Amino acid sequence: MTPSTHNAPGSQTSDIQLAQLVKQASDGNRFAFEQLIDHHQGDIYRMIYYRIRARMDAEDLTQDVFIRAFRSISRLREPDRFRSWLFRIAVNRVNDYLRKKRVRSIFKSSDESPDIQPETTHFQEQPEALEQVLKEDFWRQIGRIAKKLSKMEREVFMLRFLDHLNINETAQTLKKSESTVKTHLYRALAKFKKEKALRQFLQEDIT
Amino acid sequence: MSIHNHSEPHLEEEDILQAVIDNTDLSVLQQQHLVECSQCRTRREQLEQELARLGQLAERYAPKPHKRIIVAEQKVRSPFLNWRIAFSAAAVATVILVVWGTSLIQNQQQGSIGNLAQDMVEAERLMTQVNILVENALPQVYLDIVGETSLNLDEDFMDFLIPTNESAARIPASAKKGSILC
Repeated sequence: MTPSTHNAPGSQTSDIQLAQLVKQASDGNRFAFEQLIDHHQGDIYRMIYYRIRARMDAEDLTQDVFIRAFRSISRLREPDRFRSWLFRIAVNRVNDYLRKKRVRSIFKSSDESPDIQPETTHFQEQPEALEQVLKEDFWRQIGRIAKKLSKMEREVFMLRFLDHLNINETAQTLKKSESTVKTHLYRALAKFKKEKALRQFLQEDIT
Repeated sequence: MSIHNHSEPHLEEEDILQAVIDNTDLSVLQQQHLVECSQCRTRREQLEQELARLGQLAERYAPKPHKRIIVAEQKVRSPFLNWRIAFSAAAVATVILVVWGTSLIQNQQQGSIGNLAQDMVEAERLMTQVNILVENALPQVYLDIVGETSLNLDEDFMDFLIPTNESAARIPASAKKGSILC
């Protein structure tokens, strides 16, 4: 099962097919669920990676998310909400992971920072040194803005602009109203606009 | 949110943010302005481009997953499976009990026989010591003084040492102590 790249939600045919797959999977069709995994694995993996910044742990958590989804898909009443339901499971798993990591960090020596550090790759493994520098710089900038946002602001911002969920899906994922999501998103965007370094980084990349 | 007059007609910064989040949250006039004003549209599009680029770079700079996701097969359980498991467990428990009980009884029996044999050995040893003392009650140090470890003390000699009444009667009166007159 090759991890899929980011899918572009919105295609009417695709949405109908996905809803059918979800229905079949909830009736116990294993093959249908495997197709759903193929379709969503990349998104869920990246969503987790963006938050924990550790590839192997992100892979394990992704697997765990799909196992949990498989166990409880029969309880999903609305097939068209599958994506946000899956993201909700992922958000909960990430929160569990970060909570445990925080607890573990208490028992570690004080020089080990509990904050998320971007996973670095050695230069000899990654020949494109410039790309590597840019990558590290990018994650550093993301980490910087993430610290300036409140937990809810950060979550809605990431779900909306990194995970490409729309407002409705974001609201379903976080079990909040759309107006609440918009309010937090507005505050997050206002803070993002003040991040000159990150915006410059992005603008340079665009040009 | 406000639309400025003709000399300052552009949307406020917060209106641009609102437009990026959800265009329909703007008033009709603001939406209309956004359609007509290329400057405000550019501001909105620039912010949208930055945010879109943010998502693209995050995806590009995230490492690719190597692990294949495997969802463990959910086995369909036979209704008799639980009975089978229970029966097997009971059988195993019975066998364990029997084996354990048998070995326990054997251990107890072996233990009692072993104790009895040991008691008998000790009793025999004690009786041997008693018999030795009956034969000769003198401690070893006195036997060494005497010079003979195995004295043959027969009845006559014992009578000589400790005369009985009968033997005393056979002794002449003259031989008795204090009978000779000085």
